[in-house]
Amino acid sequence: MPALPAGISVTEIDIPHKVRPEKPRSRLFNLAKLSLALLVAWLVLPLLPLALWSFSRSWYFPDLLPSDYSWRAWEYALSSTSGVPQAILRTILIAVATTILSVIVGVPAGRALGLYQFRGKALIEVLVLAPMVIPGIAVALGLHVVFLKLGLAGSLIGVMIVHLIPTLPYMILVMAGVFANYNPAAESQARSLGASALKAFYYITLPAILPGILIGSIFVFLVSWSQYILTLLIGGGRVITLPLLLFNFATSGRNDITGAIGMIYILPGIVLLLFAARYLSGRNMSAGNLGQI
Amino acid sequence: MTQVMLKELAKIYNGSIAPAVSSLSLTLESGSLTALLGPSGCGKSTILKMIAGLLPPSSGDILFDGTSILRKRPEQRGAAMVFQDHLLFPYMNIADNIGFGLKMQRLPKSEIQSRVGKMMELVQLGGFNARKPSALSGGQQQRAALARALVTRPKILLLDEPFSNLDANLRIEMRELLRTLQQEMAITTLFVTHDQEEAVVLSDRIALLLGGELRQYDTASALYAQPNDEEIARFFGGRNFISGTSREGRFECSIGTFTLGGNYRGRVGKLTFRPENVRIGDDSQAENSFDALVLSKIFLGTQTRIRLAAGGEEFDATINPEDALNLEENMTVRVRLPKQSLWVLP
Repeated sequence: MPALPAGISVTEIDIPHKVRPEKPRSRLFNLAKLSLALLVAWLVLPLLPLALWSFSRSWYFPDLLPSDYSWRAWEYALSSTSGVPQAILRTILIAVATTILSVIVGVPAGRALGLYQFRGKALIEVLVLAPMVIPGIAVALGLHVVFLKLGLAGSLIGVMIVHLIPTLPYMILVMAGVFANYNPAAESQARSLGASALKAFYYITLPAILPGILIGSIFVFLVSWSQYILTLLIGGGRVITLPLLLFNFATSGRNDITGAIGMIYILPGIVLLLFAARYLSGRNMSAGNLGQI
Repeated sequence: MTQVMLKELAKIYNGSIAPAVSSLSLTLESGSLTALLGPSGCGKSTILKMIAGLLPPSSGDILFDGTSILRKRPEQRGAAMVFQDHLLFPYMNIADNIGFGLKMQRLPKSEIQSRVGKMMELVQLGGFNARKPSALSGGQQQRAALARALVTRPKILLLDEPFSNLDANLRIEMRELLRTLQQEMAITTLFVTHDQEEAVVLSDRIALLLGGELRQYDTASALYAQPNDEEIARFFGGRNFISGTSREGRFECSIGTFTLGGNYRGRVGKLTFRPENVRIGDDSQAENSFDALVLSKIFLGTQTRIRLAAGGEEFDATINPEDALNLEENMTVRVRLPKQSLWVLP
């Protein structure tokens, strides 16, 4: 989760230092450091074999390290014959389109849930959360029939639409949190000073909710990027994305190519995580507001 | 300079039975400052929002210089609002905040700059151009909000309790500033407040609103001296109400017969007079004099309040603390009610 860097500052554990003098405090501090190290290890260590595999020519049991190294897995993965570059572009296209669609739907929905009281609000909140609880495959099987009739099955657009199922809850929840702390009177103020509804949104609302939109977009992009089952079912094997390709190579036993694709696969997550940590943490409370509803 | 007329304006919110505002008719003279006075929750803000176009009225009409503006969108009305929270836009500096309305009017940059600059001098914010709103004090923020509305030269300036978040001294300063600027620029202004003192100090006329209804629309001194009914009198600090009958310039009650200052055409009801107009210890045989018993004495700071009883009625007088020094409880004093200060409630 992109919000992680903020949470990592375990060193700021609140200790009533009047009650506890220096010594126990520093011991606790060391404990915090230790748990931080464990957390980093838990996140990074599993990736090491993947990286080693991608550079290995031969690596057999019971060797601890590969006996021979080479670039061939990377060369193959980056060549057009493997289909990986095309799949990367396709996956990016789907993830970006899904993100844009989720912003268009999620911002108004989040505003309604965050700002207004209306009948049936609790029910709608549950329905919004439902895709996070109900397995996507259950929904997708039913949707497949509908998509077939609409001619959306097996198409890029069909995959983009079905990706909204697991991603929209993230966008709506983030935006509801943002709008819960938002004062719509600022828009009234702008209107009374001569701004049209559109200009009031552009000059007043957008700057206030932009950090939330970025955080929501990061969630949506990553969830769409890593979608497997929904893409497979609705895409019908005709829309090949990176996770599909990765799964193909993983099941065919090509550990070196799987390693190389795997490294590419985790790249957006790391990049976006660093971006969020650098530019978004602390600037806006949006991520913290996730827990508000 | 715009004359603003509200015609039988009413608002009933969805799902509520009682109207928030019921059939309000009010004419705001061009360039005047009117205080919309009433307790909280009496529909004052609703009226402002309807004039600004932020809320559609259920019925009635709003006219600017005789033309209905109901079909105009908020941004076309020229009704600038100032809210209780300054609502400065946090992402813009002070100059951009104040210039926002002019930017929306697509004025050239040079004109925006010069008008914003002049306005900032007027509200004593010169040199604060590049500051962010959060770097200003509460009073400065509210001055910037006022400047932001005034600089657009609105047809009507709508103020929704703009100073109620400020401390007492600052509030007095802001009132003076607002009054000066409003008169200089001659902008028709509607000022919502629940503070009776603020309404009296600030306005040309006061529209008193109780329970969503306009009860009296008059100058402050008329509201004090000639209230329409007992509730209005009480709202303005009236404490003395004596039952009786008035006929031909006289009022008969259990205390005696009083000579009135005006002709009240046989109103039957209550005589009222302000505590500060009661004269004690004149020791005269002049008209409207009588003996009263001192019941209690309360020191209020600048004044002392004396509770008096006569003819089975009780009433209050407020006098100078020095004059009250020689008054004791259970003492009998000579009391005079000057006839100009007497008012019979209709």
